Amino acid sequence: MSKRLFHCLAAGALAVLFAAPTVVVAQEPEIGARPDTDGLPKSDVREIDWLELLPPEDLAALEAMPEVDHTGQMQMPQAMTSTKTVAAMDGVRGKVPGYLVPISFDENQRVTEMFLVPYFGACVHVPPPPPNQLIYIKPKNPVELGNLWDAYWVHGTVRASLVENAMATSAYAMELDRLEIIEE
Amino acid sequence: MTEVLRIDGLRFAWPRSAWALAVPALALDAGERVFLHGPSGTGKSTLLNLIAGTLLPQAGTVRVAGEDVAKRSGPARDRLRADHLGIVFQQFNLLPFLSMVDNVTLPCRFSARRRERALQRFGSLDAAARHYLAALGLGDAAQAKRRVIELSVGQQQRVAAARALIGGPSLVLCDEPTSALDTRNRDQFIELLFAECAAAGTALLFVSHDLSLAPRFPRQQALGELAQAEATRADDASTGAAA
Amino acid sequence: MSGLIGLAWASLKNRRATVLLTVMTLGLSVLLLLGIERVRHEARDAFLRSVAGTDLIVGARAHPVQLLLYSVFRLGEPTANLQWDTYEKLKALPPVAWTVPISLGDSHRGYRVVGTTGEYFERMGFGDQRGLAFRDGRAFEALHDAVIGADVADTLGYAPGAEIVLAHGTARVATQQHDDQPFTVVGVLARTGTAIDQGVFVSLEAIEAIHLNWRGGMPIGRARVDVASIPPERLQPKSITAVFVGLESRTATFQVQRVVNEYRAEPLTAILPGVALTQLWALMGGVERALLAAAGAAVLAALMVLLTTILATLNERRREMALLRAVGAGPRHVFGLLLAEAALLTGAGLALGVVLLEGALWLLGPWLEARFGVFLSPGLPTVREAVVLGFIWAGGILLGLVPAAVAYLRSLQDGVAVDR
Repeated sequence: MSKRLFHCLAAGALAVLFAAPTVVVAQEPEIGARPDTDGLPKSDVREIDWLELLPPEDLAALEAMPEVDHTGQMQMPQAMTSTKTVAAMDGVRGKVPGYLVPISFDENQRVTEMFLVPYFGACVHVPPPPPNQLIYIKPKNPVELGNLWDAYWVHGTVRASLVENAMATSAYAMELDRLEIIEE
Repeated sequence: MTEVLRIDGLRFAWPRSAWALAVPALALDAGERVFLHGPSGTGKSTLLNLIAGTLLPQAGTVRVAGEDVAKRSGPARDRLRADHLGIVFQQFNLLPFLSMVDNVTLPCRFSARRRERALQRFGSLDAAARHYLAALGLGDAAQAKRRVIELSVGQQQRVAAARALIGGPSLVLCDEPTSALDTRNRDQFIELLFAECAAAGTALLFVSHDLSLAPRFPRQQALGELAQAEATRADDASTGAAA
Repeated sequence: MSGLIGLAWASLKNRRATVLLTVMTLGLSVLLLLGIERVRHEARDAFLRSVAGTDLIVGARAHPVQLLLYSVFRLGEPTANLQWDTYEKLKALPPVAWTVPISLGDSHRGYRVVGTTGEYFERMGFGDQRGLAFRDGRAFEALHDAVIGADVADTLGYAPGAEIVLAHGTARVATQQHDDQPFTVVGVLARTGTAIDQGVFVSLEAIEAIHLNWRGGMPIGRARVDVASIPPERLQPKSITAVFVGLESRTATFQVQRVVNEYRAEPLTAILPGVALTQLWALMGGVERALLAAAGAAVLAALMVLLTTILATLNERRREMALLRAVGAGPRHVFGLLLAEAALLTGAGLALGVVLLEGALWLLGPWLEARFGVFLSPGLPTVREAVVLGFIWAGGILLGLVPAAVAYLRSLQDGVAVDR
């Protein structure tokens, strides 16, 4: 009995000891999470497709558009700058898949403002997302983001601002409920 | 007269040894002084542990202050020992990291009974300790707050005696307390010990191999008579060396 | 219980030498762990504070992190410059609200000189603040006016009116000085806690002026330049190092970025500062974790030393334990005593580590700030640090269970009399 006790204690002590540096070392990023308040079971959460955010005329223009123009001028491209929003999407609650681009941080290195974009990376064979394919998010509680390549389901309520003029571009924003990493 | 110690039909043997300790009968009343003659190898440490409750006999009973030691749980036995026993060893009696006074008051940390009695009689544990130290001839040294490792062996034994006496336990057990002392110190020690035991009505069980001390005690017994040691020379050497 | 702690304390005090060594070993390893963690946090914080209010940064083609480092933090060298007319085209893009060009390449006694426009002081921000405040003086107006950051002023002892000479290149000791055109300090910026504090700011025209008669990085004109007689067109900047860009609306960010990146006439890179920063942290992350793992291993080793120390003394203390039993202690008291010693030793080591950390920060803080722009000041441990310290303390106590258990079992066996 005594020898076993001895060995058990020693093993237990060593095991817990490794917890201390591990706590410091293994900095898994936390996803800022708030309780899911829509009350729906997960499978009932409405999936929002990015194309739903495009007004029909933009969608038609997309389909009619030629290949990406690589003229290399310091000019804003003619096509794909649409800022029109679909008013019907305002207030729609659901989840949008995409990637998060951080814009601002707080003093604890958490993200206070970010963009949700449909695809990652400035891949040169694909044009950058036009304004109405971006969703601006300013979470109530700053979130800690891990690496830039994680895809997320972003749960929240879409807001489409209705202001539109030459200088100020209207945009989609989202009231964030929670972030969910998309696993493989 | 209350009985402070009673042993009946005690038998104890170590698991893998042929040697066994047997004490058919031993009893002490309050205030009695008994000399127990025990040469090396007769099992003094074992008997000490049995009376103190740190060893349990295979047969027979040990009663300390009327309580059957074997029937109590571990912590209860510790309490019994703390409340009723004071022990003086041959050497290494003191904790080197505590002062003289703190060494003397040690039993009061573990026995509420002795603590209360010392406080009642002297007002504070510190005063109690100093009283006993003074009674044993260490009044000045206590004042000087000397570190215990600086004390001579004789002085250390006296501090141990003070510790054994504080709070008025029922029985003081001595295991060769004077074997490391010279004659003068030895005589002084025994006189002081007798005086304090008499004053407090504490019983005294003095175990030693030194027969020359026996005459001072009103009652004398020999452990060799009491115990039937079936020891071989090998057992002698391995168990009795420290004594 | 408090009695046991008192006994444990007295016991440890008695074995001063060994105890001190053990405590110091643990203290040093804790210093290492906490120190790395603090520097890491502060470095990230310093980076964060510097990147505020700018939507895009544009420079010659470079890795995003590299561009971020040399344009914002003045670490590393720019790869190339971009032409002035490219800049004008960029400025003309409809979504662009404001631009602040900067020109790097000169220094003053190790501090980088930044050629820029007056708008720099209105647009650059840090943390939550937009615009830079002056603690003394004003922005540059005359050609040879200079504005300096708080660190430059404090370390070199400059105030408005001081005359300074700029050097060519960014080495600490510059061999090529622009001593024919000294500058006058006209303003000192308030402290920002960013690289701005270590900057010397002059106008773009001034950069042109000091490089008149310089070809291929060497001064070839013999005669001193007569400042008053320089025709204005010669002071027109021809190239700049980078541009900070603010947009009317953020939704155009990616489009402007793409346009800049695909510009054929000149290879350029446009970065989103937040994204580049995240990439920088991802790069640093691996190194940081390795350092922390090493420090963690050091702490573990120190705790093992602690365990060994206590275990090693157990044999000598058998009589002590027997004595305690004799006065009425139980094996559980012996167990508790040793556990208390382990707890006290670990606690003392942790406390020493924290004290050493604060001391080191107090001593080295000013130097770190002047040299690296990193702000580390003494301060109580953060919540995270306290949690880590708590874990280490728990670990020490858990390890202490081993000698405590050994002593417990021995005490059961030995009782009040130790024969051997």
